[in-house]
Amino acid sequence: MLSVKNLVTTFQTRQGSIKAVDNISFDLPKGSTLGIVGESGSGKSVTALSIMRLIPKDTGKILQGDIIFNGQNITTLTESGMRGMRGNKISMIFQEPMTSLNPVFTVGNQIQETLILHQQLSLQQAQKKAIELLQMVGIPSPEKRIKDYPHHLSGGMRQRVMIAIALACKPDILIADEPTTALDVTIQAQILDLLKNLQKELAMSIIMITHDLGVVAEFCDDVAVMYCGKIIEKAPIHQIFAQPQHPYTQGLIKSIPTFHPEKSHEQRLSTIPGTLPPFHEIPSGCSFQNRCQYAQEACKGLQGTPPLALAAQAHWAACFYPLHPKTHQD
Amino acid sequence: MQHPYKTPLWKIFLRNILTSKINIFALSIVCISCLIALCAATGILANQWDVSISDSHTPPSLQHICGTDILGRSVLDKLIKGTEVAMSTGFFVATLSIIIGVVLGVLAGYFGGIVDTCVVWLYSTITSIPNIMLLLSLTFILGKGIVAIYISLGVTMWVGICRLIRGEVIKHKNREYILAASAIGASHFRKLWYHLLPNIWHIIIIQFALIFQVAIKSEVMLSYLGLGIQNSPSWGTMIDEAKTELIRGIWWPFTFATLAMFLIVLAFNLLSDTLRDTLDPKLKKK
Ligand SMILES: Nc1ncnc2c1ncn2[C@@H]1O[C@H](COP(=O)(O)OP(=O)(O)OP(=O)(O)O)[C@@H](O)[C@H]1O
Ligand SMILES: [Mg+2]
Repeated sequence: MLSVKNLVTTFQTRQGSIKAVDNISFDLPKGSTLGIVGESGSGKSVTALSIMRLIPKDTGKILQGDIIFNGQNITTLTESGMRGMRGNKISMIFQEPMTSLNPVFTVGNQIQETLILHQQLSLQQAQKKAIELLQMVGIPSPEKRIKDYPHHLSGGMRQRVMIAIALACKPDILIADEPTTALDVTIQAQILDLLKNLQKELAMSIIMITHDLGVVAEFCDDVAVMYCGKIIEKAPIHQIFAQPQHPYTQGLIKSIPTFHPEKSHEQRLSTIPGTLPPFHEIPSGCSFQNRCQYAQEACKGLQGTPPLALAAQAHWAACFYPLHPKTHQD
Repeated sequence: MQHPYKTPLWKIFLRNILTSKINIFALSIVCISCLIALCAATGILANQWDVSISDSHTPPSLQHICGTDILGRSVLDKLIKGTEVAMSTGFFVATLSIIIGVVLGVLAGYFGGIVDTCVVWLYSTITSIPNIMLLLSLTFILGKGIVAIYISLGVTMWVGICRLIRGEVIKHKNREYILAASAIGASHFRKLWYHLLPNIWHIIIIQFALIFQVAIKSEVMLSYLGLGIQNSPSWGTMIDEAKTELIRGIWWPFTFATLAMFLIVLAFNLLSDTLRDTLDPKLKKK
């Protein structure tokens, strides 16, 4: 369905050119969900925007790589061809439901727009469809709600509206960039449930971007862990939690708060020491070396950057010393 | 394609106007002035303004409410003719400068880069020349007359709005809703016209009202300096003539012309305040 190959996206900054997305590849089969996790600044949003071809033109560009969608390479598509794709075949929802809706138009108007743009519906048809869509995303009394302005709605409601807009044309792929980060926990769960149900109903693939491994555990089939613009580990969901290969992933999993009242005084939440290095200070060799407790000589650049290699079955990791190596032989 | 958005903001505006006496007053002044100006322009009112109807400098009386000028012409008729000049100046200058300012501001803000550099350079250059000198040289080039005034004021007064619009566009284009519009496949034109502009309409409308009254004042000033209209009365020329009249106790042409200008400028200021209260989305949420 979607396959990204060797994607590199660069930005011009004052410190020179940075690779915000550095040679990443992944596949997204039909109907499946891929989670992309990573710290703030690891390049998750840039990956999403690259697939949408919405990288700001003045500073950024897709340097190389192919994004194959249904057999078509969308990196070479014309701008107008791409416009026909966005919101129609590939949709995206954003982190901030509070600011992603245009404050001066009613939610009805904003849902109708997608339909009018891509499906050439008349205003009446679009209106009817908008009500159906609001119903679909679980907004009560949608006939009244379509006349509301965004500021009349709560954050959770707005995110539902964003989902309605994104799904209006029944896209094949939905990219959700931290769709629940700005919402409180109960609403988060509702939104994730909604997305899951809609995914089944519409048979779409989802790329779920988040920094919350809990969300990934609940929601995704596969996970890609990003660090400094690279995918450093990629595996089916159960495998990554059971046997993380990359020390970074292990650190992420260990830092998930768990609730064990009987052990609470012996077990402190572990954190990964240090912070993500700025892009122009990424060390040669493994980019995680300075924060890694297992780092050895080989990680410091003499053997180059660790490639994303098969560490166990269907389990890829970019580490010279994977934690649970299992080759085909054993 | 049908326009999918209809927001009856004018209804809210009317409600805001009608709930306050001072606003009703301001709106009536503006409407009456427009009406007077239209009637004067079509010759229904004051078409005989240049005919002497009485002795030179007759003070106001029941017969000639505003008195007469040095040639015995009715000051009231001259005021009416002056209203036509003032209102048309306000309208054309505001329209012209809004068009220039908005187009350049939107292009500069939205596209950035070289377009932005050129526009910023252009308005910085214009602001660095003292306004009055720019106006003087423009009227010298274009000659005297009403059209010259429209153009010279129009091409000098767009700077403020351009700067404002550029800033707003830069602010809004990085808002997520514009990105979200890109994500549903909207074109540049659509993003600008349907998504961004409605968010800054209020600024354009408020600026229109403000420029309108500044233009009226500027026309008076230019005419006072003898650079304005030649063969039609204007409030500026009436005030200019008063330089020699006041000392002889002839107060009426000056007083009425000043009063007319005061009223219209006040009315536009009040209206632009109400417009802001109505239209600014930040204030609207209350
Ligand atoms: N428009 C831009 N211009 C320059 N650099 C950018 C731009 N957008 C992103 N970057 C760079 O790309 C890097 C990755 O950013 P990205 O937004 O993808 O992070 P993220 O993983 O989505 O983080 P978060 O969890 O905070 O959303 C950032 O460190 C930033 O420096
Ligand atoms: Mg992000």
